[in-house]
Amino acid sequence: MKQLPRFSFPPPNPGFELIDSAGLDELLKGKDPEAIKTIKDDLHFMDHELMRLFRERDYEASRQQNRYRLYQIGYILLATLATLIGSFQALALNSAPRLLPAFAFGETLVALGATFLSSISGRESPFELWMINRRRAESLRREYFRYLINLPPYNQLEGFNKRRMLSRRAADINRGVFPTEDADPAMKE
Amino acid sequence: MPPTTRTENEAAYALFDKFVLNDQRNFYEVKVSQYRNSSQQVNKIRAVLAFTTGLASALAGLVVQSSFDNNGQCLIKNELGSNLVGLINSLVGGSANCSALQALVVFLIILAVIMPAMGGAFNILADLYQWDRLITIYSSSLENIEIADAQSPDPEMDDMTYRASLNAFSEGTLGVMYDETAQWGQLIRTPETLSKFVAAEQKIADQASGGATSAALSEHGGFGIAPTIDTAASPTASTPPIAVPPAVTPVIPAGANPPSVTPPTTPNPSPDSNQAFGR
Repeated sequence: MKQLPRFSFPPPNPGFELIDSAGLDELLKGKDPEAIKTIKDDLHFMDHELMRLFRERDYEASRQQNRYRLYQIGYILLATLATLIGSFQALALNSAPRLLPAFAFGETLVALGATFLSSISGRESPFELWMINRRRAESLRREYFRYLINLPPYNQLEGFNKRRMLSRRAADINRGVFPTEDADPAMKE
Repeated sequence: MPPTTRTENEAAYALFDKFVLNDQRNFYEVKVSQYRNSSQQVNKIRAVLAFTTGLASALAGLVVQSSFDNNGQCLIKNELGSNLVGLINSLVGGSANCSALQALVVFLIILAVIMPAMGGAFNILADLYQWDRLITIYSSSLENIEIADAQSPDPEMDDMTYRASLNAFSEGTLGVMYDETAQWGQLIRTPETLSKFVAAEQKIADQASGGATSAALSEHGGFGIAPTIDTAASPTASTPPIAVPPAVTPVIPAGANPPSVTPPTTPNPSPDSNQAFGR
């Protein structure tokens, strides 16, 4: 039941964080204050430069996923109904031919229902939008941690150069241009 | 640039371990368990529906063969029919007669029609969610993330080794996440059965409206589902399609023999066809 789509999708959560502040404070308790300051500065910077984009993409992906599943389940129900009507219609051919027009009408209603559903799904397929937004959101999530841990390409930069690199890469990901992700080749095998 | 300090690396490791690796591990574990339950539930439902269909068809056959002749006349007085009536009487504690038997047959036929249609719906639902295949992806990611975890830095390491280990650990984890997302994206497809159904229904709607529907749709942009279906790669290729009835001809010419009717059969549940919920 948890996986079923909702008719009314909840609004976005503008305060959503990949790292919750309370958990972070608890985790970093007793660590070097300088290191804590560096991490918090990075998080603060990313909240505007990356998290804003991530929240939008993540929410849109979830919304389109919900839409897609709602339509697909609608089609499943209509297909089941069409099968039932067709089966009863076949049975009625022998036993109650007078009912056939009613079944034909029901069949037409199902066809119109399917057409209606496909019309309201619009010019842009929710499936496509779901996939596009999900891929970008997941890539932004990885970029967030890449920056925080100082992985390549950020390990070669500092100060405004490093921050500018993040802004640029986040903007690229957001428009669907994915920068290289340098994973350890040993891990890829 | 100046290298990160040891204390910064230790703080970064603690943060990554808790908010990435452990989060991701929990996500995979929860999803595997959730999808396994969903998959099992749907498999049970499909099995029950298939069993009920078979049982209803067999019972209907038994009642018809034993209590009615070829012209549909009740044979309740013959020996077999009487035995059956007696059996039903003993089961329901009442008195069965020809009308009751006819009602029973109708009920069984209705069951034999409804159950396979519902079974078909659950088949497509399993194709839509792809539980089984996502379980495979998440289980494999869970195993791979343990390999990444094995490279985690140790407090006894010197600073250079610690940093190198932290890099391998975090790159490995991000690599697992990358691979999992890529596989997940490849896997999710619109069930082919549904696209065919919508296309067939559009034709019916067109016939009913004299083409007005498709004209309106082409102005609107057409069908919004599954323009990207890769049939060859579709995990639903082996799934028996739900029966889509042909376009209806409501008027039968006088004197024409109606075509013989084959009772609907249960679609075979395919073990590979059930699988997912997205992220």
